Amino acid sequence: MRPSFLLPLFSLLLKPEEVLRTTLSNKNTLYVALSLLILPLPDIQAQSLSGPAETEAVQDCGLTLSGKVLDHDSREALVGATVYLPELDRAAITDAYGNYHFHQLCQGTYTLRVTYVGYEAEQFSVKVTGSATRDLQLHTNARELRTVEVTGQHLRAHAQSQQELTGQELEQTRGLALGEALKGIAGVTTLQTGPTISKPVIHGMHSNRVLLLNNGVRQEGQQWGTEHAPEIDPFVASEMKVIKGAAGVRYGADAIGGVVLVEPKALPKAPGISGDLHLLGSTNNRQLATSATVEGNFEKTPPLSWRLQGTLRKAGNAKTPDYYLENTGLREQNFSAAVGYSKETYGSELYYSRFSTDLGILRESHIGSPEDLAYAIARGRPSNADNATFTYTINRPYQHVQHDLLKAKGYWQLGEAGKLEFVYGWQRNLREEYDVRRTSSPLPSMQLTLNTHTTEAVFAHKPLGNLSGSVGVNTIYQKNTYQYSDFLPYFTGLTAGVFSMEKWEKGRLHLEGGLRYDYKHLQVKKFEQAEDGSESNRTLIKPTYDFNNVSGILAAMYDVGYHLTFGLSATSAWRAPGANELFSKGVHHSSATYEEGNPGLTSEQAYNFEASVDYFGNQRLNGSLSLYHNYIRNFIYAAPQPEPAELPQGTFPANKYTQADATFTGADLSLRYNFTPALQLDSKTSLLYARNLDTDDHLIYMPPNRFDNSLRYEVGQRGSFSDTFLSVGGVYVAEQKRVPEKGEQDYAPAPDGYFLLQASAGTTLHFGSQPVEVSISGNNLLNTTYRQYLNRLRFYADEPGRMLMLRLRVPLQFSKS
Amino acid sequence: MKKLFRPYLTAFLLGALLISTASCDDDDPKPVEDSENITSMTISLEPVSTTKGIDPAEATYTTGTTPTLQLAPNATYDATITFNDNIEAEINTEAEDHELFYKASEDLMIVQKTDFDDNGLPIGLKARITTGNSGETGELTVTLKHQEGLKPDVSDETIGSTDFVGKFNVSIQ
Repeated sequence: MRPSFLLPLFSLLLKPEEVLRTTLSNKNTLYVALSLLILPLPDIQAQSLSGPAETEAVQDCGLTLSGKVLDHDSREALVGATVYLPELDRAAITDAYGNYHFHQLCQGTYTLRVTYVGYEAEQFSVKVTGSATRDLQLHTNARELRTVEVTGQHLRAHAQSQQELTGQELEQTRGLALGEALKGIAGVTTLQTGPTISKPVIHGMHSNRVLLLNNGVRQEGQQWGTEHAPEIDPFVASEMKVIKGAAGVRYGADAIGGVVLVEPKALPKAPGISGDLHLLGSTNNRQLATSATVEGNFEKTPPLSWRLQGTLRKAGNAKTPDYYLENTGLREQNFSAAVGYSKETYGSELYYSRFSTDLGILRESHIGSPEDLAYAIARGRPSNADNATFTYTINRPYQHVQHDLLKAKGYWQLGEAGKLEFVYGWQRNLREEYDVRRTSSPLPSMQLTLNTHTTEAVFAHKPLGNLSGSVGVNTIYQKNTYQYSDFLPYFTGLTAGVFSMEKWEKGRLHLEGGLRYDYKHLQVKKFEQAEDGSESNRTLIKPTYDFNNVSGILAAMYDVGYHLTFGLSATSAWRAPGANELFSKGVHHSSATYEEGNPGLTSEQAYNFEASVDYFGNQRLNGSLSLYHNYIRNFIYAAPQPEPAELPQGTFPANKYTQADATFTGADLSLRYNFTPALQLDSKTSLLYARNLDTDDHLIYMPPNRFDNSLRYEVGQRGSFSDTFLSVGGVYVAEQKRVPEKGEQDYAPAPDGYFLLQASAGTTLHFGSQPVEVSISGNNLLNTTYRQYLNRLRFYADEPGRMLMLRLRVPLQFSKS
Repeated sequence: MKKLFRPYLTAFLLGALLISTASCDDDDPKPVEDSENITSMTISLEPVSTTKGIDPAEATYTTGTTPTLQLAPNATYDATITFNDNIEAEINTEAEDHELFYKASEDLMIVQKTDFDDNGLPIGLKARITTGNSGETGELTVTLKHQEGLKPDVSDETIGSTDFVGKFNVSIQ
C-alpha cells in the first residue's frame, strides 16, 4: 500500500534535484497521510450540515470558485495578485493570505488569467460543476518558461478514485453500448452476453453492486440480471464518470462496487438555437446509427431553455473471423426532451427520456439440457456456422426492453445559508424476453414491469470556514410485477435514507467524512410450490423483510506540491439482498442451469480501502495509481449445488444463492507519457485478485488482468483541418488463471489470453465556419479469433472479428444573436 | 436556515409516504399457466408378430421416476412415443424441426426410426425396436430435440436444444 514505490519510476523523468525534493516531501506526506487514518478527525461527524459539491446541477448559478494564488516552488501565498475571469469580465485581487473568490458563477468552463509582478502571467482553465476550490500556482520570471497546461480534469476533487470520459475520448466511443464505452477507464471491464448485451464491471463487481446515475436519477431497471444491459442511451452523455469503490454515502446503499454517472451537458444559457448531428456506420455487424440534438434558449425569456434529442441505432449479425453469429442484431430508438428555467436564486428542470431496444441473442445459445451445453462446447462453434449469413432480422431468442424516465428538479438559493435541491424521478422499466418456443406464439416467455419513484432532497450549506458539505434525504419506492413467467416474484420495496457529507480543506490537506443511514422494506408476493408438486395446490405467500444499516466514508487527500497528490479512503457500504437473490426460481436457457433464491439471506457489508497517488500537470509524465482492497462480509453469489434440480421438464445442474466472505484486491494504473507535445503514450493496467474466504478459493467470473496501451500523434491546425490525430494501440487481456480450484464450477476452462490491435484517426474539417468532425476507428484489426472469460456466451462461439467504424459529427448553429 | 429546512422536510417525507401508500393497491399475482412444458413421455411397444404370444409393453417417464419396460428376448416391437397433452401431434406437424434420439446399448436393443418428415428425414415418434438376448438389462434414453432450421441430412443428436429426455429401465426376460 506504499505509494512511494512509484518513486523510482517518476525519478527517471525528473531532474535530479527535483527527485531529492520529491522524495523528502513524500516521506512527510506518507507520514501525514497515514497518521490521518489513526487520528480521530476533528468535528467531521459532529457537523450536521454537509454536502459534496458534485451535485448534478444542470443550471447552477450560485457557485463559488475560490482558492489561493501560490508560488509554484516555495508554495508561499502571493498577496495582491490579480485573477481575471475574461468570460464574465470580472477580476479579483488576492487577500493577505493569497485567497481569491468569485461568487455567483454558473456551471461552465472558465479561464483564470493570473498576473503578479515578478511572475509569469499564467492562464488556467477551470471547469466548474459545483462550488470549487482551485489553487493557482505561478512560476517566477527567472525560470525558464514552460507551458503548463492545467485543466480541471487533472486536479482531483475527491480522495476516492474517480475517472471521467469526456470530449474526444467520449466521442471515440460513440456507437458503442454504455458498458463498452466505459472500458476506456482502468479498472472497468464488461460482462457480456454475446455482442449485443454488455454491462459495466467495476473492480470485479457489477449488476446490483454498481449504481448507475442517469442524469442524476438512480437508474432502476432489472439490473440484477447478468444479461440485462443498462437502459441508457450513451449519446445523451457529455460526460461519463466512474467512481471506483464503495460510494454508498452519497448515492445510497447498494453502491458497493462503484457508481457510474451519465451526465448530459447543461442546458444552453446563451440565446439562439444550436444542435449536433452524429452519423455512424460500421463494418462487420453493419451498424448504422444517428443521433441528433437541437437545443435553444429563448431570447425574450433568457432563463428558459430547452433541448430535444433522439437516437436511432441498428445492427445486424456480427461476424467472427470465420462465421456470422446468428441472431445477434439489435435495434434501438431513443429520445429525450428537456426544458429548464434557471435564475440565480431558483430554477427548475423537467426531463423525459425513453429508451427502447430489441436485442438479439445468439440463436445457438438457447439450449434445453446440460448435455446440449456439453455438445456445444465440444463442437467449438455454432452448429449452423457454415450456413449463417448476414441479416438485420431479429428472431427468438431476443429481449425487448423499454425504459421511461421522467425527472423533475428544482433548486433554491436560500440566501447566504446555502442551496436546496430537490429531484423527483419516475421510471418504468418494461422487460420482455422472448425465448425459443416449441410452438409459435407472439407472446413473450417472460415480462417484467418495474415502476420506481425516487425522491432526493439535498441541502448544500455555505462554506463554514474551511468546511463545506451537504445533508440530504432520499426515498425509493418500487413495484415489480410479472406476466408469463414467475422467475422473479411480485415485490414492492420502500427505501429511505438520510446522509451528511462534509469536506474540510486547509492548505494542502483535504479531509472528507460522511455518514448515511438507510432503511429498506421489502414485501414479496409469490406462489409457493405445493408439497406434492402439483400446479393447482399452490399457495400465495407474502413474506416481508426489513433491512437497515449505516454507510460511512472517511478520506484524506494531501497535496505534496510538485504536481503530486496522495489520497487515502476508507468507505463502508451495504446492500440488502435483492428480490431475485431471495426468491428467483427457474432455468437459465443460455447455461441450462436451474437458479434458486434463498429466502434466508442477510445484507452484504462492504469495507473498502484505497490508497492512490496522482502525478499530474507535468510536461512529460502524468499518471495515477490506485491500490484497493475490498472486504465484503456475506457476499451473495450463486453457488453450484451438489444435487441437480429435478424439474418436470428435465434435470438441470442447480445453483443456489449463498453467502460467504470475500475480498477483492487490485490495482489500477493509468500513465501518460508525452514524448513531444504531439506524441503521447497512454497506458492503462487493471489487476484484480478476488477470493472467497469461506471456501478459501478464487471467486468465479472475475475479470482477468488487462493492459491497454496506445500511441497517439496529434497534428495541430493545417489549412482547413484541425484537431487531427492518429492513434495505434492494443489491448492485451491475460488468461484468467485465478478460477475456482475446489469443485467443478465452470462448464469450460477460462479461454486463452488475447491481444487486439486497435487504431483510430480523425480530424475536424472546416467548410467556412462549419466544422465537421470525421473519424475512423478499427477494433481487432488483426482479425484475431478469441473468446472472453466474461462473456456468458463464450461456450458457444468466438468474439466478433475486425470492425471498422466511421463517425461523423456536425455541430450546428441555426441562429445567432 | 434550519427553520427553512424543517417544513420542507416534513412535506417531502409526507409526500413520499403518500406516494407509497397510494401505490400499495392489492393486486396479487396470478399463477402462471405454462402450457409449453412437456412433463411426461410414454413409450408404447406393440409386438410386430402376435403369434409368439408376446405381450405389448408400455411405460411413462416423468422427472424423478424410473419406469421399467419388460420386453421379450429377440423380439421385434413397433414403438410409439406420446407425450402429455397430445404434444406428439404438434411435433408431427412441425416434423422438419424435430427429431427423437434413442440411446441404448446394442446388446439391449437396436432401434430404427420408421417415420419421416416431408424432407425424408427421420422423426422418431415411431420406431422399430429389436431386443437382445434374455437376461440383458440397461437403460433406454429417448431425447426429443428441437432443431428448428438446423435438422441435418444425417441425424445428429448434438445439434439443437433438448425439449425433453425420457429414461426407461429395460429388462429382457
